[in-house]
Amino acid sequence: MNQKLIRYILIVCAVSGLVSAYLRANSFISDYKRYVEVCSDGIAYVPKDAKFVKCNGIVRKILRFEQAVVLEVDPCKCPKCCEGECYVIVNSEPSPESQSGPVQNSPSPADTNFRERSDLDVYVLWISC
Amino acid sequence: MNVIDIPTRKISEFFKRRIVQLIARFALGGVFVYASIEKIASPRRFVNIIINYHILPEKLAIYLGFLLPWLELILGIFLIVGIFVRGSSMALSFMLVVFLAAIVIKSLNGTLSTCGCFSMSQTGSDHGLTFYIARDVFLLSLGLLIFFNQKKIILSRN
Repeated sequence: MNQKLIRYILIVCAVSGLVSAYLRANSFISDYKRYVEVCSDGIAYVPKDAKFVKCNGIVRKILRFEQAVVLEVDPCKCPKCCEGECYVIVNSEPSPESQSGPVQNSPSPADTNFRERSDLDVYVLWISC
Repeated sequence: MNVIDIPTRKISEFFKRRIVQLIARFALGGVFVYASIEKIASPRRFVNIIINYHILPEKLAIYLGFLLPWLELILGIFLIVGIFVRGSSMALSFMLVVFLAAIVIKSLNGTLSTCGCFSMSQTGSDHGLTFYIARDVFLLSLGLLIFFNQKKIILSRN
């Protein structure tokens, strides 16, 4: 094959690869701004349907929510990592099975500030590390 | 003629040999192509590793995390195929100097657990600073060898 043709094909592939990487970076940045920082001071609110959070600026995948229990030793608390996962304490909506009896403090439709609500539960959030 | 001139000239001629140039190009290009594949496959992890260096602002780190692996792949392929050889070897040498500086800075901060050079695993690595420096200096010497000994190819118009 003509050497010039190979050169042109490679250049076109290179440019399209770089452009696609740039576009993916742009979409990642818009997602990145939405991720909740969970490793700062205080307890962050994380919605149950969230897929990723930030821990010290680093994007981590959410593995699971667990009901908060008193942990005497916390070797796996972020940033310490245990076999690819660590935990942080977060607030989130109570799961349906954990609610007993009539729901108290039922939020009004206008109540959009979840952090201010008193009906949030405390969870142990396991994230990848 | 100075006595030292003879081995120096011999070494210089050795490095200018086509086969030596070819081996150096394939070695350096191959290393960068290999290093880029996992980063392109999982850019989020690579972005995390760059952010973890705490050298660049987050936005710049994200752009770099997505674009750098493609640059490594492209420049590596250019070296292997033999187009833009001087430019590619210069760019890769510059990148190696930057990588070297980043690794040294992170190591001085005492937080060098993984360099993110080849594997995206964020668990601790067995390799120490000396290994990373030796590897990067070796690759840098390959890049400079290619750059300074590559004959300029002049395409005949006939």
